[in-house]
Amino acid sequence: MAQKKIKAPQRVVERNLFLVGQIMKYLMNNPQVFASLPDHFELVVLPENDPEMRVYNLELLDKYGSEGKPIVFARVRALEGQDSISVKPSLFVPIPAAA
Amino acid sequence: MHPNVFPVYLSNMGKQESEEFLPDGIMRIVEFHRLLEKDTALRVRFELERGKILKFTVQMECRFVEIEGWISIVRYDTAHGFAHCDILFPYDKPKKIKMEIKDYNDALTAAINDLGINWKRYRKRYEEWLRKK
Repeated sequence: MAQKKIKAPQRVVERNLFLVGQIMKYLMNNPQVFASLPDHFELVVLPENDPEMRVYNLELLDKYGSEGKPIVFARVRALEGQDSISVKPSLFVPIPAAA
Repeated sequence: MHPNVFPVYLSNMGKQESEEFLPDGIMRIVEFHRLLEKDTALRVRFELERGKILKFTVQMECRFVEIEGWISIVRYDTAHGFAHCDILFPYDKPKKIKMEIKDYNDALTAAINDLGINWKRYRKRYEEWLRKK
């Protein structure tokens, strides 16, 4: 069966880079968060107020995976032009299940 | 744990990942990859101590029909002790352009901002260089 082709939203790279930039600024302003992050991970950004980008980023993950790396999901409410200080992502990090 | 960080339990994690909870102040090396669209990705690596970035690499990687795999087309890093941008060529040595920003936290932010503005141009010119062989 043919694989479903993912339709990219307009300016998808710019919008994703903007979101990554916002998350990086948040992390640099809150360095204690780094202690909870894995050393290597795939970052998947899920903007709460942009369903088109949220669905697209999940479809990318579904189709291309994370090359075996742990996945960190960042739920973020951000609009382009918004002050990064007001951006507070919720980060969902994997931790090992108890044996 | 920080109030904005929530654990997700996975059963297939290795020991390395289980050692992620380190006390404040310890130097960390963190690397993440971010698929921006199907043929364009961002890789970010940095060393961090007490909230200050000691070293970083931000690199844009692309896939092209002419060549197999992911190719780095532009890289910002702090190798050689200063923040700079390496323009990467398919058949030649990289060209270094010094970033006039001393603070590495600011330089990393500037690198991501620059990619947001210029990524299409960087990708297009690399594609053209690839065809010139």
